[in-house]
Parts: sequence; C-alpha cells; structure tokens
Amino acid sequence: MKNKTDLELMQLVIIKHRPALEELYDRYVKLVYSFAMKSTKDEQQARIIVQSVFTRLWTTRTGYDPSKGEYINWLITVTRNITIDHIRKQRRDQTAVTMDPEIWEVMPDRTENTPEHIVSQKLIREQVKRSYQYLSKSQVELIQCLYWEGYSLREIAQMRNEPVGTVKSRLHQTLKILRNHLVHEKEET
Amino acid sequence: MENPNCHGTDQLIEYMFGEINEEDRIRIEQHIESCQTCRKELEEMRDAWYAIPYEMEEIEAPADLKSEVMDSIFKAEQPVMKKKWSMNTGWIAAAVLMLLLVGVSWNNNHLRNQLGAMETNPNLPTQVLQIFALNAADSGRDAARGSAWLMQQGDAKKLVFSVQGLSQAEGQEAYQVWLIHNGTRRSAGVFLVDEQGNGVLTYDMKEQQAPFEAIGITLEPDAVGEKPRGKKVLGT
Repeated sequence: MKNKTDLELMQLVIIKHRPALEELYDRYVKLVYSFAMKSTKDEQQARIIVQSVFTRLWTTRTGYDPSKGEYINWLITVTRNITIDHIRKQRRDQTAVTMDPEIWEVMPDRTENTPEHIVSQKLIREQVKRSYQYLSKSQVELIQCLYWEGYSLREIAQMRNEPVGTVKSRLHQTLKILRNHLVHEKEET
Repeated sequence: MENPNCHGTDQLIEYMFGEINEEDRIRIEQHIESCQTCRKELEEMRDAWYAIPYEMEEIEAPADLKSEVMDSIFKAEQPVMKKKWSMNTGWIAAAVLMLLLVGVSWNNNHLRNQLGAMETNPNLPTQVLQIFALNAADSGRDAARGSAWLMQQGDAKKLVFSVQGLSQAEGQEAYQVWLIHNGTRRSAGVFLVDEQGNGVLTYDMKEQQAPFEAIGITLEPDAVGEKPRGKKVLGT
C-alpha cells in the first residue's frame, strides 16, 4: 500500500479494499484533523468530522476524478464541505453551504508523491504563512469567518454591521494580497 | 475591466461564492466564457482561496482516533449476499458449481482476501493496466453504473468489477458479464447485487484468451447461459 499513489488507493477503496482506506487515513488524517481543529477549536467536534470524512471516502460513489485536479485539493474540498455542514448544524443554521463543490477543478494538476510535489506543497505553505503578515486584523478575521467557520458574506456583513459591499471589497483585497505573494514566489522559483 | 460589459469584482465574488440569483449566475457565466480579463481575475481569486488552508498549523490526530473511525466504518458494513434464493436446490447446486468453475465471487470478504493475496507478494507489484467505465445502456436508468479494472500481478491478470444502482435480480435471474471482441461475446461470469444495488465480481484472465475491447453486462433469465439472452443494462 505504501508505494501506491492516492489515485490507486481511491480505486481500491471503491472496490472496498480496507487496507487502502487505512493507508489513506495514515497519509491524510493529520491534514483532516488539523482542518477540523482550526474550524471548530474543539477536539470532540474534530473527531466527529474526521470520522465523517473517512466514512465519505469509503462510501463515495462518484469518487475522485484525477483529470479535475490534485487529490489533496479534492480531499480539502470534501473536508471543508463536511466541516462547514457540521458547524452550521451546530449553529442551527439551515442556510446551505455556499461554496461550489466543483471549484477545486481549477487547480492545476501535478504528479503526486514525487519529491518535487512534496517540496512544492511545503513551498505553498511557507508562502501563504508569509503573506499572512501583510493582512490586516480585519482581513484575517474575514478569512476566519468565511473560510474556516462557513459564514456567508451576508451573515458576516450583518454580524459586523457593515454593508455587504464593504465585506466584498475587503475579501477582494484579501485574496489579492494572498494571490500576489503566491505569484511572486512562483516567479522566483 | 476595460470591456464595458464587464461586471465589477463584487459581482465576480458573489458568483464565486454562489451568493447570486440564477439569472445573474447564467449571465456572468456566459460573460466569463468570452472575457479573458474576468476569467483571469476569477482564476486568481480562486487560486488565493485554495491557498488558504495551507496556512493552518498541523496538529497530530489523537492516536486512538484511527481505531474509532475504522471500527465505526467496518461495523456498519454488511456482507454482500443475496437473500431471496429460489428454493430449487438443484439449480442452486448447479449455480454454485458454475460459480466455482468460472472463479467468480460476489462476496466482499472473498474479494478482499483475493486482493490481499495479490498485495502481500512484495516481489510482484499489482498494476492497473486499464480502467473501464460502465454506463447505463438505457438512458432512463442512469443510476446504474460501474467500473472495471484490468489488473496484472506477475503473469496473472484479473478483471475486477464494481457496479452500483442495479435493481435486484428476481427468481433465477442473474447479471452476466460479457467480454466483447470483434463482435463476439464471451462470458466473464455472473453476479448478483445486494439490496442497495451494489455488486462486485473478479474474473481471472487466462493467458491464452483473446483480447477484448468492450464490456457489456446483461440481466439474464438464469445464470447458465453461454450467449446473451437478456436485456443489456451496462456497457463501456
């Protein structure tokens, strides 16, 4: 199992091969758990989310389509949808999750599990962390509410008592800053 | 945004987050098709959105979580077995014999063991040679679908099928897999589906067997036919 690619493991999972699911768990539980902890800040909630994510991998009918992007981004999308769904239920808020589940398609495809790929993942991590230094407090708060806690733009505007247009332009500025730092780093390497 | 038909970034953001009505969504989608500026803007915002989770601190998951998750998933698993067998014991004996002869398994545990056996030989890695998508033959029944993997380990080749969304066979009916080569069909075994409409099957390919380029699955009146007689349900 160790030398199989993520795609091969997912193909084995679809035909109900348990060791393949266990290998995916070993590879990605840290990512899924960290994501859930960042969103919920609660170990019990995070445990429930990890269980839902791996149950979804085991029961998914549509599965992962490699032509649409990297496995890790598909998994992050699945994890985010399940997490946001979970915390919205906790908030007793019936508004639907607003993210388009197909958005991960736009991510460029890369070969998985190669040393280059692992290095590039680390690089993105460093770049994003560095770019956060350039965000203001209200921009960081916006990302926390919108990305990690699943509030809609309208809900955020209401909570902050601001026009929704203000929230949209703040988001635009925030994404621009993040994006610019990614671009600069990309050009350097 | 030099094009006068362009939307402001506000509208692109509304579109990106789905906080938009259907009419505007279609309008923006059509516009993006033809406007490179807006398309680039949207792609850049999505790139940034996708980079966000890379900021999080990675935390080790609790060590006991794995057994908790796995226990909950595999306890819920029911073995895939057909319940409504015909009481005709002669037919059952014939069917069992035939199932043994063609090396067919519709039992998940059996399939797992076989895959496990393929897996445990470290000198002979299992390789997926080809993947076939199986789609409903009748477009009115598009819930039905499946996949087939042609796998090789050493000189041994296996075809592994997994299907979903088929209705349960009645009486002596059974699903049968056909490998198609130059218009001739040969059987690759029969299978049944569980109450949820799922079925699996493995088929050992013999070396001297002719190649095939397509796969069809039919619902047969019984499990002993040598040529398709029933309706085609899935195919490549």
